[in-house]
This record gives sequence, C-alpha cells and structure tokens, in this order.
Amino acid sequence: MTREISEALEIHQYMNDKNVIMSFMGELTHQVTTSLLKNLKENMSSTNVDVVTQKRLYGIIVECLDNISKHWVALDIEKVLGRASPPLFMLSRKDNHYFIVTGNHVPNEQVDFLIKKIELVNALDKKGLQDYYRQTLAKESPLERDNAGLGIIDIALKSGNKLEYEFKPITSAVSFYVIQARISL
Amino acid sequence: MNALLIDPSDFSPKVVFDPVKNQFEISGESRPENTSKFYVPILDWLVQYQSVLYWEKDKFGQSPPRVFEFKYDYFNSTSAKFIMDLLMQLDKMAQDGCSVQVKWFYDKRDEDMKESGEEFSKLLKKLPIEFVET
Repeated sequence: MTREISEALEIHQYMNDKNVIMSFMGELTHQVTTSLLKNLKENMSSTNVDVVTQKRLYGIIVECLDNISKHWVALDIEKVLGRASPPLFMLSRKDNHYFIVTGNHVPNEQVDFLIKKIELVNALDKKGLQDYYRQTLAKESPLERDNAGLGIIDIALKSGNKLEYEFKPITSAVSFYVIQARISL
Repeated sequence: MNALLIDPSDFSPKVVFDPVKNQFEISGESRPENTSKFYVPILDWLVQYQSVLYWEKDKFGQSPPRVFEFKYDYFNSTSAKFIMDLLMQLDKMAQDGCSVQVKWFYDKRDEDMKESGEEFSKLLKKLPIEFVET
C-alpha cells in the first residue's frame, strides 16, 4: 500500500467517524455549488427531517458556499501563499444536530471586521436578528451590496444556535477562517 | 408593452410578467450566479410598466388591479435585497395611486418563507400584501 492510499484510508476513516455526510475541498464555482446543492436536496428528501429544518439547512449551506465564493474571488490565494490551498466545506450529523463547517483564507485586515460581525449576531436573539436583518435590508444601497453582511444574519437566524469560528494566522497577509453553524433537529 | 418571460433554472426563478394576460408571477428558487444581472432587467421592466400604469390612471382614472404573485421556494440573502427592490418599486406605484397588490405564497410547512414576507412588508408604506398558504 502506498503512503497516499494509506492516507486516503485514514482520511476516510476519520470522516466516517465524524459522521460526515458531504465534504468538498476545491474551487467552489457556481456550477460546483449547484451540483452539491442538488445532491444535498436528494439526500435530505430521503431523510425524515421536517421540511422547515431541511430548508434552513439548505439556506445555511447556500450562504456559507456563497461566502466562500466571494472570498475566493477577492483573494488570489495561490499568489499569496505560492501554492494552491482551496476552501473546504463539510456537512456532518451528530446526535440531534447538523454541523456545517466551511474554511477559507481571508486577508488579515478583514479579521476584526468579521469577528465583530459574528459576535454581533451571536449576541442577538431571534427578534433582534430579525430587526437587524430588516435594518440591513432597508439601508443598503445597490452600490454597497457586495459586502452586505445579510448572509451572516441569515445563517444565524436559520441556525438558531450561536456560530462558532476560528481565525488561524497563516502569514502576515492571510488567515484561515473557519466558521461552524449548527442546526438542531 | 412586451411581456417579460424568463425560464426557470436550477438556481433562478421563473418570471412571467404579462400585461396582456394580466399575469405577474415570480416562482421557484433564487440564487443566481450574478444576482444583479438577473434582477436589474426585471426592475427595469417594472419601471417601464409604471409609466404605462401612470398613463392609464391619468386617462381612465382607476385602473383594474395588477396582482403580483411571489411564489418563492427559496431565495438567498443576495436575492433578498433585489426582491426588496422589486417590492419597493411596486410600493412606489401603490403610493402614487396605481392599483397594485402583492400575493406572497408560502408552503404551509415553511413558516420562514411567511416570516420573510412579513419582514419585507414592514418596510413598505402602501403596497398591500396578502399572504397565501399553499
């Protein structure tokens, strides 16, 4: 057995142990996203999870994947690191929870902004999140749209749980940003 | 004025805005690759249609109601902003005395879709929104 095969087996075993339903590492184009989401829909429809939870899970995943794409487009990570380091998406289920984890590089100057944003939504209850969502929807001009931030509010609303996150410094220019949303059944 | 007809895809909704048939409907899933490219023509169409309605109102007085049906299965947060724009445009027409209404459809198992519609409606001044459970 080659080292690569043995590593593949280890990775598979690890993912199996962690109840990973779906995992993807690579460039998340819109086409790839669409294909993952189609797969997810089929997967979900064969479970006994209620429709509203299925839709919330779907919505969270769309927002997470959209976020990755935005960062990916904005940052030429291969140029920054001198090697390819594509983003990661992982969906797993444990006990009565689904876990959605994404990981991607972000410029260090965005880290504080992102932390503030996540902490802000984590501090709000459902009513607070709805108000914040509405305010954000109302005030944004078309020009400000791309760095909107509605996505993270939407994730928090649909998740119903606090978001977990980590920024791992990689170089003086970028960090690896991991965010986890959890949805309870 | 020509009808605006857009076929649905896996990631963008079907649009039928047909003044001759008096049918105005958006339905399906919305997470287009380029949200602005998808929604701006719809918004432009509505702005043009506004002048038709204004002309009709001046010439004939009260016009028959135009009912815009929103039948989304799902929309992402980027689409939400553009849906807000469509509703704002319709709201503007309603404020100017045009007879426009919205029907917001939602699956009865999907309380979130109803709540989204309610959140939108809080930002509107005059446009009547009727919620329809399916």
